[in-house]
Amino acid sequence: MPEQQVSVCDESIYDQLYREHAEKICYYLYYKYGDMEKAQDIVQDSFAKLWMNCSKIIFGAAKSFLYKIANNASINEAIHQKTVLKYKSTPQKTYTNESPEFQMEEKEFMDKLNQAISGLKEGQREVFLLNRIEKKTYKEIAEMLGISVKAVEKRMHLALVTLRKKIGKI
Amino acid sequence: MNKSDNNFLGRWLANDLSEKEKKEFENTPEYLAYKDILKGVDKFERPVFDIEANLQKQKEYNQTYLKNVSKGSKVIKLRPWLYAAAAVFLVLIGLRTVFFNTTTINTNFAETKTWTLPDNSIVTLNAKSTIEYNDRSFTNDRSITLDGEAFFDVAKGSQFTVKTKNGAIKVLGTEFNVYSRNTTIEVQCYEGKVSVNNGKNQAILTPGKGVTSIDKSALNSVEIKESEPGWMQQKSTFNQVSLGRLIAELERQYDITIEKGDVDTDRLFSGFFTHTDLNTALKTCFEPMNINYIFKSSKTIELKNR
Repeated sequence: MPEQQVSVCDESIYDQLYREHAEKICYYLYYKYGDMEKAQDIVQDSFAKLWMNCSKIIFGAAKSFLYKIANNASINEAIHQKTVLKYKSTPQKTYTNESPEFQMEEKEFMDKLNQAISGLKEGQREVFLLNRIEKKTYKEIAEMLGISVKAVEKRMHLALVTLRKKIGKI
Repeated sequence: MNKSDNNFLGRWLANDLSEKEKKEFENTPEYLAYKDILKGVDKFERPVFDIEANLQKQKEYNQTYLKNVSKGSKVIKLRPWLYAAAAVFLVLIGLRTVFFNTTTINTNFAETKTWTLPDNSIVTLNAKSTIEYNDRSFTNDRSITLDGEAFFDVAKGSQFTVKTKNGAIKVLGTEFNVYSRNTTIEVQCYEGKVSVNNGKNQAILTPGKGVTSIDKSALNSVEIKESEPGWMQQKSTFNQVSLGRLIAELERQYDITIEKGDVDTDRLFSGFFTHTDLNTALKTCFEPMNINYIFKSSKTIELKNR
């Protein structure tokens, strides 16, 4: 069984794990907390812990180890953190045939939407953004978070309803 | 859209609705609002995560992380005897609180204090005096230690004991005054019955009677006329006491120093002095004794024979 021979301590294997998972974990944390810097810090810590314990962790379990560490770390740090999402809107086109009024309205709408997403519950936001921006399927999200597909559907539904109500109010 | 259907929109996004459901939903006013939201969300961009650059950073970080962790996780173990010492210490503190929780009340120069004991007896302390009793056992044995002078108004009940180094006073419920300083003890009874025992002799006092004794010698009985000790009315009364004791009492009541010079402190004095005015007090004490007094400073007085 060649699987058994693969060691996480092997640098090429470690690099492979990093290339495969670091980005995904980072975005996952970003969607959850809305803070890219913190997400990167947690990713760094998680991979450092993986490196430190590389001899004890078999290759197949590395992924779940990383997610577990990332989740624990974020729980510790997120308690008092107020989430602020900073989304870049798409770069302005150099020319446009839209009226200035329309552009204003659109900008206003995007601000409202941004604010509404920041105000979502953690669980709803991570699911919603993983689906809409990362284009992950419900099944993938369910596996990632360790919840059922049904629960993902429900969170998507609630996220949308909340967003609509909030935008209507603001 | 059915309100109780709490994953309807979730299914819609996953394209998991039946044709009929979809048609119905597209005709509701909310449909466009949701469409707008999704369009808006699509315009958002996620920040960049540069995998290769971050991997390089990660490797540097791993180096420092390993160093920090191996440094930071040094565990210093307590030596076993330290545990033992800590345990013994705790036990001693526990014993102390159980057996030696005494209450001590002190008065300073020129100060009197009234204190209610746990049995509702009232003690008034004259200047420079101390009482001490054990909180736990007091309610059972009503025993109190005195150094100095105090007036007791003892609540009725079991035997009440005042211990001094010059003798013990036992009562059942009375008012009495105890003076015990150096080797002198004086007890005056104002109400009830008081038993005085200085180790060699014993006397039972009835109201209006008192005893004095020096160096545990025989108890000399004294008649008293007042209804309570003079010092309770801010004066000190003396009946045939040495000049030395009078001077000591002046020093206590006024917080002053008296230099005796060549004055004979064994002469006897009868009379009283007030606690409220030093000049009057000095006059009443030393004029009749033919002694001059001079203020060397506000707190120091020098005596001289005339």
